[in-house]
Amino acid sequence: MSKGDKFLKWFFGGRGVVDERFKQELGKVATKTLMVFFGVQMIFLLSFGMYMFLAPIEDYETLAEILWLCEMLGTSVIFLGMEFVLIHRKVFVQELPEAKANKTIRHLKFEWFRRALIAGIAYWLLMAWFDMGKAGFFAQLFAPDTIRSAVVWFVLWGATMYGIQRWQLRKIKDDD
Amino acid sequence: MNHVREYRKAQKLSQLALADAIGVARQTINLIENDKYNPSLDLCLKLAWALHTDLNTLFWRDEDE
Repeated sequence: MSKGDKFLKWFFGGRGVVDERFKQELGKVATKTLMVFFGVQMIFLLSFGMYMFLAPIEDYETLAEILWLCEMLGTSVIFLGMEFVLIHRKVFVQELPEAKANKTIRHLKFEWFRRALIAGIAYWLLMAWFDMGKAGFFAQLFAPDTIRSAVVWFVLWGATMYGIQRWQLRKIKDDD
Repeated sequence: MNHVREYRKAQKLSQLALADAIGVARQTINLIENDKYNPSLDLCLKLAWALHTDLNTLFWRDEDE
């Protein structure tokens, strides 16, 4: 598999084989997504621009935060929509015979537990570092709130990523 | 209709085995066999080599078919 193919699989979190049909389907969906993205951006920026010019604005900081939040949410929704279309079209689906599929599922569980653990610890350290304020790093690190949010992140992120990957894995009978 | 399915069965290969042999997904083989996907020339050649036949035998059809 070429580096470009590996990047495609990593970027979309796909499990299936990257073959020419995969790339063709991805190309079709990506073109439509780009059109939707462009349309949404134009409508949003035009309406936001009109509001900025016509309405009396005093607090530009809040306005910038709202703009950032809308952009973040809009981009995420469009990207997730693209992912769901690709999964629905079975582009990312990996089909395996039953015995191999069971082994892959076990590996997936272990792999996402490991990744979620690393992400959870990174989140815990970063949250403690960002929020230390007057309390100091270690006091914030062992504060119940910091630990709780890191555990929530570990569970939610790990379970979601495992769920998405598991959804793409199908068991088949290898007799056709 | 192409002849991929009959040549694959003659070689006693499953769709998955053939897909693994030429480096594509099983769904791609299934779509090709059901005439729902037009493979590239490169993929046609790989199929012909894997099934020990030639492009004409696998894919040729008359104009009125």
